[in-house]
Amino acid sequence: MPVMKGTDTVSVSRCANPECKVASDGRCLEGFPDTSACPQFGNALVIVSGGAAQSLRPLASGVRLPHAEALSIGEATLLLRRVPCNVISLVGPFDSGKTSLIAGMFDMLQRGPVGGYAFAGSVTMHSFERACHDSRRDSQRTEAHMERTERGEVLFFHVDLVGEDSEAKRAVLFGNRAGEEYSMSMVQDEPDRAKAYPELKRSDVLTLLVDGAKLLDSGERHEVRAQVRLTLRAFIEEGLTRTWQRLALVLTKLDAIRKSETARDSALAYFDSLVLNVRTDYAADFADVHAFMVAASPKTTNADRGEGMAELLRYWMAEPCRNAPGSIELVEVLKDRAFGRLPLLVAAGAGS
Amino acid sequence: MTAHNIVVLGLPGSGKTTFLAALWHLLTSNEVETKLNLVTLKAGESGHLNGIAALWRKAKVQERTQHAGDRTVTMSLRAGIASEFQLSFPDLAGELFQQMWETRECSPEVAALLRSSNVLLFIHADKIKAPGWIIDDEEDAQAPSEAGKPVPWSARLAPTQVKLVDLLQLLQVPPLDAGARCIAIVLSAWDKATGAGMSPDQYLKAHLPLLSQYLAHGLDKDWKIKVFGVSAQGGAYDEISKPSRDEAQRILAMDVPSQRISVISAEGQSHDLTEPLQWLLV
Repeated sequence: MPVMKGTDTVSVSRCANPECKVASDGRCLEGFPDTSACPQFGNALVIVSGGAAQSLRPLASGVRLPHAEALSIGEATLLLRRVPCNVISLVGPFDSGKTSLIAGMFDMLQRGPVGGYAFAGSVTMHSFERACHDSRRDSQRTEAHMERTERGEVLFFHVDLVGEDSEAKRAVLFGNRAGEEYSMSMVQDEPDRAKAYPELKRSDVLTLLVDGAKLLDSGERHEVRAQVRLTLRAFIEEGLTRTWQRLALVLTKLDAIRKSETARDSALAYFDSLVLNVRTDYAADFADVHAFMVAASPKTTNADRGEGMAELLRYWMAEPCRNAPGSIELVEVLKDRAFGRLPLLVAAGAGS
Repeated sequence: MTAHNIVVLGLPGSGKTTFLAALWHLLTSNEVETKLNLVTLKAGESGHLNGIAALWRKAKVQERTQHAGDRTVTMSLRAGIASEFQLSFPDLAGELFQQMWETRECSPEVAALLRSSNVLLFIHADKIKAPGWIIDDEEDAQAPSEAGKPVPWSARLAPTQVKLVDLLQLLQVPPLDAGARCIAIVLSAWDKATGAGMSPDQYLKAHLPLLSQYLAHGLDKDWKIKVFGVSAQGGAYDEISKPSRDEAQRILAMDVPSQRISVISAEGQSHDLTEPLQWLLV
């Protein structure tokens, strides 16, 4: 029989169960009349020494501190109940720059206030730092890179900001989900799945990303436009949007567009026409539609790092339209009973 | 006797032990006027204090603090003619705070110490790790480094200001929350920063902008903050068992060792290392 480290075996014992007194009174604790039938009988008794017992004891536990990773939907919901908060959903296909936008915003705050907003805290700093890492020198890369967002449940990056003209903090939650999860086919073909996008319905600003690098490619750009329009249409048809939401159309990778002397102007003109199309088709479905051009984490020097981000942050931080009181149409309901249709004395008898 | 506690925070190599060494010399030597005075030489961990003060006098670099929160220094002090009080502060290893940022836990003993209302936060003015961006190298026309194997992310790589903001955030939430506190921020090795011609507040804003924003907007309104520039050594000291350098020789040539010390605040300049402590206790 193999002997474990830190244990001793006593060969004189006739049963491996220390509670069994078969050696002294001849009676099997398991109730076997024939002791040879007992699976414990005849095996050596295993005695765990005191020293080994101590080494097996778990170490004194440390004090657990709050984590600093992106928030789950449950954690984000708790935060929403506690503080005024703007929720921003970032929607775009793989490699369109969603994580770059989030990381770029945090990186800019590391240099100072952005767009009139100062940093006042974050409970997700590990995730922010992880997202920023591949555009930093510590990564040993020669070109800024962004890790692909893993598929799965939406995760929220959190930051508290304070405006120049206010002392009060306002939290921002950035919903980050893998681009594939928002793909048109996913939304259209699996409506039940689409309805499980809780961040979309609660978004104050739905931010739709347009990959600038793809607009440079004449073969890709039509597909980009189709994806943007059809994704929006699918969201609206599935009831995932609200009329109080703002829509930000964000052209990413501005540095790549500026770098291309031959296709630059046509790419920018194509984006303008895309914005016009969206405004024409969907302006009534949103409180506001606004276009932005950004270079959150440029790979070349054709754009400043964070160019366009200040304007975008101001748009994200604007007072949510969901809080604005709206007018309600007064509907006169004709009473079924004649008595109910009699004019009220107070209203009708002004002269009495 | 009244008892006061001060918790000393700071990342590894931020100057906590050097401050303590210079403070013990200052209090025991009576070479310059100080706001707080030592009542008796008897002190908790006096052997440790005497050892580090001896190294300081010889202009030798202090060894890195390795222990885990079991060394709490206690001194009997008095401010002017006021009554005597006991001041204790733990000489915690900076690695403990690094671990809190990385692994999100600490020992119960350290957690208990971190609930003190008075915080002395050390930042080495000359070892601030800023976020360095790849694109800035290209803008500066620097030759890009050779493509090697990318280094995966590790919390240890985070900029200094991110780690410090996180540390202050942890002090405001359970299990370390202890209500409103006073924080004296000590920018150590201030002699290395004086070339910038800035006040300690300006230096913090310029070199640690995220922390500066957080101090202004993120802390609860009841917290009190003051920034000090402190040069506890007066220059670069020699490594133990290495030949002496000119700068250390210059420092050793000073007749009054306490005059190596320089403390800068909004109120002016002095040699009095007890200024930040006195501000915390008042």
